[in-house]
Amino acid sequence: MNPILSFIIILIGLYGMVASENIIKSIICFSIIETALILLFLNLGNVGLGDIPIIIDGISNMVDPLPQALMITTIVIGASTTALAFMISIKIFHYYGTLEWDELLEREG
Amino acid sequence: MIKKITLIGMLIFMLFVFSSNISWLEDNIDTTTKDYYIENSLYETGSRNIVTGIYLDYRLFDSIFETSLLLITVSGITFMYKKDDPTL
Amino acid sequence: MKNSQILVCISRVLFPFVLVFGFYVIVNGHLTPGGGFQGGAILATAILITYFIIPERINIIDGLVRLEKHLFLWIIVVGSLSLITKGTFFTNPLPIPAAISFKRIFLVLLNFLIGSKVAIGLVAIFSSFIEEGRS
Repeated sequence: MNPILSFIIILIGLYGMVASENIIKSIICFSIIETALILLFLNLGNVGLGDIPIIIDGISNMVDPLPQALMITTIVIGASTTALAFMISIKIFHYYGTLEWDELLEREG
Repeated sequence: MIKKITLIGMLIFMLFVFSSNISWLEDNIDTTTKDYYIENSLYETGSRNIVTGIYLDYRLFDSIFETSLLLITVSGITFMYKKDDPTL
Repeated sequence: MKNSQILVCISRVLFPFVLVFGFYVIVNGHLTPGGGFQGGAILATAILITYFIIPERINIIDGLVRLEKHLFLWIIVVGSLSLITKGTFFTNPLPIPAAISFKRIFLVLLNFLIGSKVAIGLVAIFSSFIEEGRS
């Protein structure tokens, strides 16, 4: 797998965040960017199709264990930020009655 | 329409910059930390799974503040889900 | 909210197996792929299955958050035990030439604390979403 592929997915998520008109779609694009970032880091650690990073007999060519340990952090933080964003969007819907960016900007100004 | 065309042009420019930078990165990968972890991880931390050894021994500071972030998120969500307050 | 009978039966059969599998992944985190965070997510799904089995309203979210704060304090206390023995924060409290089987006590204890904390946090998050949808 190429790192350019995961960067293309990051760009797709960025385009979706800018061009979408609904808050829920923006949050979905946010988590697309995050998943692509995880894929990019795991690709950079995987040099030449290694095995799992567990010390047992018969495994010689391991992948780099440091990006995997960092990406555990990223997965948990991503789950919590996505949940917080959904809760705030529920509160926005209860207060304003809509979830479209344009109507919200008109309502505020 | 002109806005979307400009946006797609900017994204293609970012892809070009990234792909021209990533081409030389494959040759310069440094395996010093990887070799150190494979060599000394079982002796220093006592864990056969190197990932567990990293996030529970070498980088425990990181893990503890990650769990604190999860605690703050849970507190915020349970603070916000009570819907009697109209301003919240 | 009324669920179908097939879903309730399958959930009742599946619940103890998922629970035991979550504990297995947490406790064997230093030998096999897995660990605290992943096993905590599996435990959270196992506890959330009970929303299919018992459809009545159960309001335990405040108690869950209080328990999670206590677990976070215990994680900090166990992590800073090495300040007494070694003089540095956040490593294994035993010295490096100690036996491997003694050092694994620290790993298993910390994995268990982190796993239960992550499971309780995810259960609290999804329970608050479910209560928000019902009311």
